[in-house]
Amino acid sequence: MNKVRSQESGVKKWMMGILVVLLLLTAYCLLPTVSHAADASGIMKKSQLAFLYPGKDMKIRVYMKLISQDGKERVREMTMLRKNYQEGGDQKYFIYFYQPADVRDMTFMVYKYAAKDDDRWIFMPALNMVRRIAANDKRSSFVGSDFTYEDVSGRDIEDDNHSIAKEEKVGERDAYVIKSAPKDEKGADFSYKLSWIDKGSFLPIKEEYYDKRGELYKTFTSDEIKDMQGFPVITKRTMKDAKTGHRTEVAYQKTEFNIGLTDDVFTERYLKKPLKKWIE
Amino acid sequence: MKKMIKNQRCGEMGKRGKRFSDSPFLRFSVSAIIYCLLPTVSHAADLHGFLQGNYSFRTSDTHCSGSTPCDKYWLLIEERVQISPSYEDPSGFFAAKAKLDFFHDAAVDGDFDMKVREAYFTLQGSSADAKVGRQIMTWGLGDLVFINDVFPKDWTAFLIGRPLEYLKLGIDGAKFGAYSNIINGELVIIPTFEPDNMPDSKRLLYFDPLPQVTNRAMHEPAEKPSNTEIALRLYRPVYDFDTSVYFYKGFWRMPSSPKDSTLTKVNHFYPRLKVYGASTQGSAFGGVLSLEAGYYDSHDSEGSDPEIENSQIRYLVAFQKAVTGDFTASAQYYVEKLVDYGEYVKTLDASFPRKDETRELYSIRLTHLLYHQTLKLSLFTFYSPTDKDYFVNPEIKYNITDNLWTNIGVNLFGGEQNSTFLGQFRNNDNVYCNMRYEF
Repeated sequence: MNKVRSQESGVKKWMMGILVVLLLLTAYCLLPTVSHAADASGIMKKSQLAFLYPGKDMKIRVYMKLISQDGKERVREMTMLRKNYQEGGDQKYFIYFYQPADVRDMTFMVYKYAAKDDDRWIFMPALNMVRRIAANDKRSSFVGSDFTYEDVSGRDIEDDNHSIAKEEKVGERDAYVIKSAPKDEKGADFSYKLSWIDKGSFLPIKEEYYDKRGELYKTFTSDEIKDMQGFPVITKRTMKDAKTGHRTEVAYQKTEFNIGLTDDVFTERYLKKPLKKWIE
Repeated sequence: MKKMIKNQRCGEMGKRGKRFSDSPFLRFSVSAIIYCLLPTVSHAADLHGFLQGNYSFRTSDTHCSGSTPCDKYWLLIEERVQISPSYEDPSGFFAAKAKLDFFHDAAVDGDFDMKVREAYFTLQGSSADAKVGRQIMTWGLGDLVFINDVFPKDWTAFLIGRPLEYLKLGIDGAKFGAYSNIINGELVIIPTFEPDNMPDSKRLLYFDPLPQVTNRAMHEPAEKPSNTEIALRLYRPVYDFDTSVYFYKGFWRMPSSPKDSTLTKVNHFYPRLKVYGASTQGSAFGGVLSLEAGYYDSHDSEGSDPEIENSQIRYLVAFQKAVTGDFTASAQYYVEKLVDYGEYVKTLDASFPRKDETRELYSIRLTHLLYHQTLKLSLFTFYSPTDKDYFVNPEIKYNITDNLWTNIGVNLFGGEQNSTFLGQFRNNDNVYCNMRYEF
């Protein structure tokens, strides 16, 4: 009897052992997909921090060229101030326009919130008037360029499902290729987007946007990346409309981080009369 | 109702206060600015401006006779140059700017003329600033309706299709600002009264209750300390809404209108006025919500003087939303309610048209930007169910290059009666166009 019992407990141990191995195998098989998804989302978060949140604050002189297919150029020149209030979250933007002539001295302010619609203000110098403007559609064009407001100030990472499509080299840089598809189809113009994220700096080297029919409709490229006060910065970039051939080239002419922007810079007072030291 | 067409030279009145030589205050400001600019022109001054052609053609045909404007004719054949020098010292503490307009309008008098549109200097401290001289002031949230914006307007400019900025006239005064985390304030002091530029009788047809009276005089408030206008605005964010309270002590900018049909001479004047108001604007319901209200405390002994406007309560509710991408829509509901309406009715001469106690006005503005925001299609409409009148203004604006833009638009007016606010302009439908080169 004792022998029979010991045989039974031996079998049970075997069974338990096999079960544990099977469970471990299943877990092992499942793990890469879970961690892959987590990785993709994590990479996009890191990328957004590197792209839109370096430093506590920032001042840049932006020179923007809007170029039509036949080579006709229009220029937008501005100083952009940005202050971070929450890592990967709330930010404030202030923009002062130098040209074109019909918007000279115009200023523009955005309070960007992670969880709700932004607040936007515009100052029209000819009328000496500050007004709020509706900010519920972030897909509208930023000052007529090929960049949307979302392209300038970022899209909520949580709005899309991200996965690593592949890893490949772009020029000298090793990159993750992340596929992002909107969770709510109506919440984006693209059905999916591919982003080539530099493994070193986490900056986007290239982005391709595909419409609802799966056709490429716009492409973002980083044309120059420089180190500025220890932060890697895309100092030249292009957004090209694949269908019309229209493109917008952006060059950062001066870039400064951690300049000590105070909260009152982002108020009505300075919208009407910006301080010289912040816009020069 | 008999035909009532105003034949008074209101245009002359409107020009008063805008000529350089008229205002000692302005002369001082401009001279001070030029003095400050001269030694520094080489390194810190800037010069901008524009060349503009502005044309407007009245398309209504009134088939009238006599001295009043008849048939279809040009409202505006104008070339204009604006020169805008500015200077800012390296520290940013002192700055000065002027906008000088030189123009020639063949539709009215054909003379070359010049106006100082703005000329001011600013002093900027860490928590306070000042702006002194002729300057454009804009307060309040209304879209072409004004509650707490008590500053002068040029209605002729608006009616005949000048660019929108010309609806605003500068004040000759000083603005002081004080700023803190708790509250911000703007105090405006205006020693020299500037009236609204009323519709110009040389160009426009509009309602005149006493068309037979040609002997008229316009009396502006004398320049003395007790007539100095004061406007105050205190503001701060309240639950993410930009919230302001306002106070104004001064005068109506539209002249009094005598209501006695037996008069042979009319003395227009600008009655005293105080305004108490508030406004708030913020994000709500996926767009921008605006609320504004004001109490117009008219110096009118409880509504019993028919010549002076009664006190009024004015308020508005407006909502703006980006429908898709570059297409924005906004709607506004505005109300003007007469106080002491019983007194108004009792004291009004029976031969004069009677206003309703409440005037309601709806407006809609649609704006669509196309082709990388170089083409702007816009439509603005007013409709008043109480006055039964309307205004419709479709416009197309195209930026040919970064420096050159052109627009073409139509102003259409209509109403059942020729005495209501918009209805009186029903014979002034016009087509206008502008072309401006900015440098």
